[in-house]
Amino acid sequence: MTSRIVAWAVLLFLPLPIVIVVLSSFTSAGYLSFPIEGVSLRWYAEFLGSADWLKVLGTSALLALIGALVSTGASFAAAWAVVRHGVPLGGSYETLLLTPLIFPHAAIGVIMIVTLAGLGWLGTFTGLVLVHCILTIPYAYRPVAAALRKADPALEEAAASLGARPWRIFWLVSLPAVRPGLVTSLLFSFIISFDEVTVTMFLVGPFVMTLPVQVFSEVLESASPIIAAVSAALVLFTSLMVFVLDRVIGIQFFVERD
Amino acid sequence: MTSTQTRADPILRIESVTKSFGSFTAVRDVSLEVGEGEFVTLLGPSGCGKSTLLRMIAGFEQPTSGAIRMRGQDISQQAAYDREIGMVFQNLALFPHLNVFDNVAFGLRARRRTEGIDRKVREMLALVGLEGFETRGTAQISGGQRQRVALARSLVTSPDILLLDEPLSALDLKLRRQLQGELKRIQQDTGITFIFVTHDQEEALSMSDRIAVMNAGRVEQFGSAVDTYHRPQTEFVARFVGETNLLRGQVHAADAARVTLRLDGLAAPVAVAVPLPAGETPPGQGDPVAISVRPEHVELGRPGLHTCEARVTSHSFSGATITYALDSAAGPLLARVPFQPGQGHPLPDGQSVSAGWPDEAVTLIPDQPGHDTTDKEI
Ligand SMILES: Nc1ncnc2c1ncn2[C@@H]1O[C@H](COP(=O)(O)OP(=O)(O)OP(=O)(O)O)[C@@H](O)[C@H]1O
Ligand SMILES: [Mg+2]
Repeated sequence: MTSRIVAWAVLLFLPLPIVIVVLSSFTSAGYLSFPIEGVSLRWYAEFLGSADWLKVLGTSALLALIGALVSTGASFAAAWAVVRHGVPLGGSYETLLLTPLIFPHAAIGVIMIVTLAGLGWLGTFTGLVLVHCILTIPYAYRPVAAALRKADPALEEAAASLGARPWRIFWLVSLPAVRPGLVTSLLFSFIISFDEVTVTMFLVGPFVMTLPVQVFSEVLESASPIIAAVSAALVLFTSLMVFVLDRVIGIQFFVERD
Repeated sequence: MTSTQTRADPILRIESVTKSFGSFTAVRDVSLEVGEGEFVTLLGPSGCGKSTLLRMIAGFEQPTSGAIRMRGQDISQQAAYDREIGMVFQNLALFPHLNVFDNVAFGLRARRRTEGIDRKVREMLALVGLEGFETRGTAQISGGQRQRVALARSLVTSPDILLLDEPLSALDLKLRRQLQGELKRIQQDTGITFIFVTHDQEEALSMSDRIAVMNAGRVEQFGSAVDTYHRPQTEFVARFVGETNLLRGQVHAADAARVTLRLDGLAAPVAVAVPLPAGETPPGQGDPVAISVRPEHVELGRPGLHTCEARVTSHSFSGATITYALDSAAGPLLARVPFQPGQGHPLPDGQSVSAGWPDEAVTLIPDQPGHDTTDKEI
């Protein structure tokens, strides 16, 4: 009985902050408050009418897209090597891929400042792509690896015995068999990258800025309800993306059944 | 359809093929010839190397030594996709993301033979009795239907040889019998050479033109179904294919046509008319031998046969026949006799009977010292 109450409480409290943010974005007042004082869409209008906000939105979206593609591609290649051929370190190799999850983000941020400065990429878009790939690979790797483990290698042999050459086997059989895993990887790395604040904060500069970091610095300066509007728009966008992809392709979440 | 004579041009010739995985040898010096249009079965217990041999023929594994020739040409180094050899997998390996039609069409598309693809796929589905299932997903059909999809998929490209790795072992008995008949019919209709793997000896006997009985990586005997059952050449074959009585003894006398032997435990020599193949030297006097007598050839209480005194220890009734377990001077014996209703009761336990068998029912098995005579396990 108690556990059911806890379960309900978790279910209700998890989305509570989101509900509050969304509600407060509709305020007509000039400052953030809850409950809100009047209903209006003025902060949404301000967000969509601001070239500055749209620019960082574009940067974040592009960064997340490129980062997701690169880290999913790299994860797929790594998982293929591990699952199909075996790699020298075996299980430790997979643990190693997960290390960005264990290290404190502040430490990663500091290390990355040094590294990117050395490469001459500090405060550049390229630098952010590199860092976001490192941060998202742990999330991208697991779903593809799980999907590859589940896929039956006999499928590829069957395709070969039917006369398909290696590349056709790859496109027609191997890739479709792990498609849900790939989509999940893409989605998770996109969302992680799109939301990333702690490490990115160290690395942005006058020439490149991301949306969540912009929201963060805005919070420090003023408490304008435009932040709530931006956040609400992000929530809406992310939920829509998850919903549509799940409908169209099917998402394979982290639950591994084997 | 049984064809024991050697064929002029075998479609497949396996020459002293050995396959090792590290220090373990899964297939050991196997040589086989398969004729065009033949139905050949690889029969043997689990782990004896059947799948490994099949996978080398398909091109998924390379022999460690030896050669595989198809119509005379060595294909052992050829890639699987370049061989005109189809395969039905033990777990079927249907493409889960494709429906029934697209699964069957895969081979035609892969080989870019897209002309008339619709008609060919439908013909194949008709052949296996799956008309109307084109748009079903592979998870939306029964086990037997999946089996048929796998068969249609591998037949649509008209391969020269079709390999089938225990395709029926996951099905229940009734469906299994039905599909055995259908497989045989399809093989005869299409004329495609089938190499079929099973560990079920009844399945092998009822379907095959020839059977290769495998044990521990070797082929112990390769011959017609009738010969495999009635003329087993090794103890392993005698035990693995059907039930048998194996009795041991020594050669008493032998000439080119006839061998007489003395069975352990029996005083009088037993004459056995063994047609020795031309050129084969008869065994020498005193050589150890074993004989195999099938239970259905053991007769009880009939005079004029080579007999030994025996005592009934138990019996089991199975409708048309009754099987007695006997204790005899030559060792334990099984006798399976026809049972007629008018005959009264089965012989009671402890009853003394004389058990005997006609000469022609006896198969002489040369004793192979050091040979692995693993008991059958299914
Ligand atoms: N890739 C491999 N690496 C190591 N050993 C293997 C490999 N493939 C097969 N073996 C071994 O070779 C032996 C023969 O295997 P195979 O699969 O050919 O047996 P099988 O006769 O098909 O048995 P079953 O009836 O159980 O399918 C087994 O002992 C197996 O463990
Ligand atoms: Mg096998």
